[in-house]
Amino acid sequence: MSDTAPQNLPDVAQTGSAVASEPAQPSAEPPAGAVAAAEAGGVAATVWVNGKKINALWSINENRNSWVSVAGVGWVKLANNSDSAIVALTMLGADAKLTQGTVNYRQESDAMIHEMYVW
Amino acid sequence: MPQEDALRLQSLIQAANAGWSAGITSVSELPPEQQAARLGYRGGGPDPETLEQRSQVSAARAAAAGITAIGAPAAYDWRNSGGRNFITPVKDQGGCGSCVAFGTTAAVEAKLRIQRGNPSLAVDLSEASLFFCIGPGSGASCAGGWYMTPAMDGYKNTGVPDEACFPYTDHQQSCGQCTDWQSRAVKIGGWHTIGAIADMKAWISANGPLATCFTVYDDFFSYKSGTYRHVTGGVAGGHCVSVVGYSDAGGFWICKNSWGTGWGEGGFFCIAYGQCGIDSTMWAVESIVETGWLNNVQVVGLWTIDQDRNAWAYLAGIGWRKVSPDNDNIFFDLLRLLAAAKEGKRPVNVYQVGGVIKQIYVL
Repeated sequence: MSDTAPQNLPDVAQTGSAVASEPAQPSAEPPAGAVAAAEAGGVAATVWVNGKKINALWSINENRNSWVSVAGVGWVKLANNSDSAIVALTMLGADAKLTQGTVNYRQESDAMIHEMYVW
Repeated sequence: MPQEDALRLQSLIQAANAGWSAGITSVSELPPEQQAARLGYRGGGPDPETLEQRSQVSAARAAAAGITAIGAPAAYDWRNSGGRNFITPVKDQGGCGSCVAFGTTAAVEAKLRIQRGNPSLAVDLSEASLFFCIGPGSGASCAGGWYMTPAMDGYKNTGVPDEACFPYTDHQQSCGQCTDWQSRAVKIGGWHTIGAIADMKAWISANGPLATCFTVYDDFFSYKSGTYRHVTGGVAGGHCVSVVGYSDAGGFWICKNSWGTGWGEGGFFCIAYGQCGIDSTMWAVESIVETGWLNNVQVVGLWTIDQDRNAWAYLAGIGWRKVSPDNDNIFFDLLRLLAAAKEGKRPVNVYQVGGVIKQIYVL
């Protein structure tokens, strides 16, 4: 049985590229203002979406099922490969929603957010 | 060095138009064996070059005209960076060949002040801990000196506590650092060597002082001021210092020595590009990984990834710090408080161990 999803799933904007490493650590510096997002079309295995705001959150009583609504993009699911990872991503999504801070996130071919900066 | 010898040396310097002044200094009057004891760099071994190779590379570069900064300011001096002095006070290694510990520690101390953006930051790290606790594993001794590679590795892998944990004295001794040295240790995030002159200047102007080593000749002990060039005297040994600046107009590096303030220009000296192997290779401290309290700082960014308990907070003026991943509830409690501080724009006091946040107050 597939997980439930929030309503009105959008298309996903895609931009940039990313390199994942193990163990990972952040590499970006704080943006001077909003980070310019160089939007580009097409489908890539890994994409960075930059300079976004979170305008809604959604979760449900199902294991590791939490989503954020990205302004101009729509609902995007958070990576569900680990309990601690999805909780941390949810906490950052909540922070971004509360503060309306700038969000940069990495999306993989599974359409889920696997890495996130919140400024 | 008797007064007549100083006068003779000064006349030789003038005859050679070498551009520096000699005289009686805190080390010029010492017998040769005690002068040599104030050095301590072996060269070769685990390091990239011998002293002879360093001198050859530097001299060849100087002969090939055009050692000027490319992509870097024409001059820089961390003693006056926008009117602020980030360099810690000059120390004195005394009669022990521990210059490697002093040269690397000077670079690390400056890097910590620069990383914090605080030229007044109270930082004084223990050269004794580096030399007498970490050093013996790779052959360091007062009589034999040491190498740069294990010293930098020591800062990266083990860490060095504050001076009060193990005060320096200039004689061979066993490790005597405080019992809680690990919780007081400063580590570096990494280091690397730089071989190109332009890259050295770019690093210094953008990141902080470098450490370097060179061949000391007898006339160097009498240096008082100006831009040093070897004029006379034989090889006394190898020596390490930190490079705190440079000037393309003057054609020199500005270095901090470890012979006290009674030598040179208050303990500093200028040395011409290409002299004595000074700029063959230099060693760069990439970042500081700290232990201790950071008080009244702002959380301005958060980061996480699809890995178990891996989240970081960006502290204003400090940089990224990892959230302790010790267990789930520790990780989430700390992350939630960091997020709350960020959301409320409230300052925090955080206790970090090796750059990992272990405790937090939200104020």
